[in-house]
Amino acid sequence: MKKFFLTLLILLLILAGAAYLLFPTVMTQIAAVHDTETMRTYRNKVQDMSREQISDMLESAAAYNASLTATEIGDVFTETGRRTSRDYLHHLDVSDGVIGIMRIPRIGIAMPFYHSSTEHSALNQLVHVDGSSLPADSAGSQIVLAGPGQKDAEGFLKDIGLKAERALEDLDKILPDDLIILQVLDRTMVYRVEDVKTLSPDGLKHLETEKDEEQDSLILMTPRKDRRVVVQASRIPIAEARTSLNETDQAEIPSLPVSILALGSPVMLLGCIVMAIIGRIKKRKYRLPTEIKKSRKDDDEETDLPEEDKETPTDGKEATDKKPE
Amino acid sequence: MEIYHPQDEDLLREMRRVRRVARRKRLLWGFLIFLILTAIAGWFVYNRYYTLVVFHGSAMADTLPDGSLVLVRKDAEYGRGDLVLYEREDGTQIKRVLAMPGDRVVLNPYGLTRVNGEELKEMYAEGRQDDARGGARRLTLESGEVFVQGDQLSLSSDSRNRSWGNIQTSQISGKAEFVLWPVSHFGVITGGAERIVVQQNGTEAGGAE
Repeated sequence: MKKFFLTLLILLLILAGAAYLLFPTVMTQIAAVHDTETMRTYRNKVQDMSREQISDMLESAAAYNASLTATEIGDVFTETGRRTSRDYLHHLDVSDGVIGIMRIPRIGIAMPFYHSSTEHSALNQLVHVDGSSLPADSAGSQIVLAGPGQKDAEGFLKDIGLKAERALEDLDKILPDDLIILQVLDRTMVYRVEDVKTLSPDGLKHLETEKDEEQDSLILMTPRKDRRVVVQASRIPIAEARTSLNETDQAEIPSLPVSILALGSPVMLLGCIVMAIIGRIKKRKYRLPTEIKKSRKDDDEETDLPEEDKETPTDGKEATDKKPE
Repeated sequence: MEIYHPQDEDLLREMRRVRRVARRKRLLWGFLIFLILTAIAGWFVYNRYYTLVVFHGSAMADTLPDGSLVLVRKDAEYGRGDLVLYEREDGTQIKRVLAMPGDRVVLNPYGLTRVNGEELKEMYAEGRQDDARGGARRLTLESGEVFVQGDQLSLSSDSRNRSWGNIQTSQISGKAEFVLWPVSHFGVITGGAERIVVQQNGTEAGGAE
């Protein structure tokens, strides 16, 4: 009994440790499933729009951009949710506040980005920062996006220091010359990273710039403890982006041992199940006397042998339980 | 002489020990046998039926994210809308079949692509044809030629580009059937573009494939 409880305790500790370590990974995968569904819904709605509707929407957003002068970049991560104007929210609103999709191919990030609002804030989702240009495929735009790194879990789980899904946690792995792709309606805008900085929240003010009519730029921000990782990128032509991306477009076939192991594993799993069943059958066949006695008691059968079946000593002496010296 | 009958406990202890040793031997042999069987089964499946492929790139938009683990059925039959694995001088890739040998293709940068007179409404696609090089074209595929296209219309280099050209059926080694990773895309790859047949008088009729 003591051994059983000790084993159980060790098992529970191992499971708890594994759950603690795997929790962020599992939550990240769940978030990825949700994001994928959101992006599919967005894409389907765009497919249902006519070219005229798309053009009208982009023109309207471009007119909004023209009304902006300098881009104010405040620390959006200190606000829980900001009130934004209806006019801002109305532009490029295709599906549930989603403006478009952002992808960073080299570090494997793909997620929708939203209008910043009371519902969607930079603390929870990747958002477009109100006050910066909307991604309307127009000249001279300066787009600012901001999103969380690794989110904290909620409630009790947060109290024990558990982290939830990784959003832009890997953003500090981005390098100059990496590409960032924004997909808005049917427009694809590609930006090449020029600089990656880590700034204090106060340092963000130095990023304010006057709009450059000849250069489209993108700023992407994420918090890292009390600092801010800031990625600055400039737009490149689609043809140049296609050439760059074509070099990395490959289908890689893993090595032979890896392929064999991966393809044979389902068979192994099936074999384990079969083995477990066979083992169970054999165990029933070779049960110990006490186990047989126990099962007979459970079946309400007699446990004592009949008198005529009991052994008798051949030399007439009585049997004894005493072990000879 | 007294006859000694061992206690039940002694007998049970010995029987448990024997059983434990036998179980360990059985487990060890079982593990070795299963490893061997796994390798044999994996080799059989790999040789005859499936290849595992890791997809890299942005050409297939959200259909196949970068880093996807894809199961490709070797020498499988494929048709319009299916994803195929092919090999060219610039490497191995996966793209979607838009037209088969003998098909007539009309590329319209400002509208939908037509194959054999039918317009394709490509629900899986991102971007727009306007960004692709090649412009408006009409072509008829020869015997043994397949027209392929990436789902990211703006960023994919594929048969829409005259210099890239069509691929040969002999270059196609399999059909992508299943995504194993990431979890968000786990499942069977559904092929086939939803088609809208544009009739002579301009009205549309539903024609899902």
